[in-house]
Amino acid sequence: MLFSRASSSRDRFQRQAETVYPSLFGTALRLTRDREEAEDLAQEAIVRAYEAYDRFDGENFKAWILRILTNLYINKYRRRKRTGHSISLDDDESSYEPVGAAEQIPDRQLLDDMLGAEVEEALAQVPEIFRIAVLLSDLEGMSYDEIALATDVPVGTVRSRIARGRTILRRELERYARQEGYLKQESEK
Amino acid sequence: MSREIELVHALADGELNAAEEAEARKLISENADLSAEYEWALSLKSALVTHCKPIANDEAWQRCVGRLNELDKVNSTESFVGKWAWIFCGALLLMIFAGGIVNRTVGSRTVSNTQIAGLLDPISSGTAASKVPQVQAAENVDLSKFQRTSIVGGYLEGNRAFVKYGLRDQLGLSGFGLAIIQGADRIEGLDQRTSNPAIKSGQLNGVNSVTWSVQGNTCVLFGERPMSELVSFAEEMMN
Repeated sequence: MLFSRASSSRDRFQRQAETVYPSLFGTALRLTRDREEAEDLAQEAIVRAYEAYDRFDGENFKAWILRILTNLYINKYRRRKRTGHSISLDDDESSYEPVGAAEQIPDRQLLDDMLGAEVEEALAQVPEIFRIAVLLSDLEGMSYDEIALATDVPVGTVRSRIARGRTILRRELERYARQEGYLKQESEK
Repeated sequence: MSREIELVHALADGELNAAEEAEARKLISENADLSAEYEWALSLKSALVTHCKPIANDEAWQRCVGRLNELDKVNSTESFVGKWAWIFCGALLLMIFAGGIVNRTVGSRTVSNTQIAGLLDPISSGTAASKVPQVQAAENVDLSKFQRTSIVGGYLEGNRAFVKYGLRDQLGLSGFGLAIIQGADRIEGLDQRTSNPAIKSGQLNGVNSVTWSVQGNTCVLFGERPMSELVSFAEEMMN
């Protein structure tokens, strides 16, 4: 009786975890930018989630396990990494530089024309504190409240990080677009 | 400006309350830059979803399953041990206790040297000859070549009957004795081989002693004599 109950809980966990694993691994890879480290991080998150499965409220498994992964990354993996980026977390008006007047908006098709690898590379250039927020929001569809819980910051900070992260990502994409000829160089305008 | 931009992005994410949403929409309609920002926010969100897909990694997933299996194995072992530990401990204690009782009563046929130490004095006192317990093996020990100078008897710890004779050899020399202990086949400390395979030797409390078995009982010949002489006396008694 005891074993069959334990086994059914294991089966249920494994089914749910298998479904979300590609998202989990994708997020881990986009956070660590290292395949081996991403596999370790995702596996650690799975193990931690399994150990804490009896405390899962049954609401949103993906958000719950992503929260575990994010916490793990912030607390453990990030300490080991030396980030090449140094960016102030205080309000920095320059990072909010607006995109420009309506007539300067690059064609929306531009982003669709870019390759996945280029978008991934641009995303990798976003400092991780902002990248985490953008990833969880735009790729994993987590709400600001869920992101706040996962990253242990107030919702207002999440809102700010997402806006700043997207602004930085936009700049990186524009730079790539110019480099690859999707957009004309400034001097050619 | 930063607050306005944050509002615009939050609008793109559908994360504003009604009042904030109205404010954000007003800002977009009045400000071309913010309108462009809003368009970009939507485009970026869509581009990320289009280009950054979840990444399947079956090999890594299988390793995760392996870790979960290991975890299950450890947990089930720990849970089993944790659940039954008190029974294991209880059973072990019971076995030790029962073993002790059996050992003391019926089990062991080994007599410890501490039990026998009191017998080693050839002239020690014991019960009167008339009350010496019957030790059957005594009838099968040939003492015809020796002279009995005393006889005492009694019980060792564990209710083993014994009878002990003080002896004198054919030259009239005393100072050695023979104890016959019922229901024992080994004396602790008397394990060394002698020229006769049926006789073992050793020292009890520093006194030379030899031992042999007779019908499930043990004879111990001891005294201040050379070991070879005790062995030859023993052989004479066995005949």
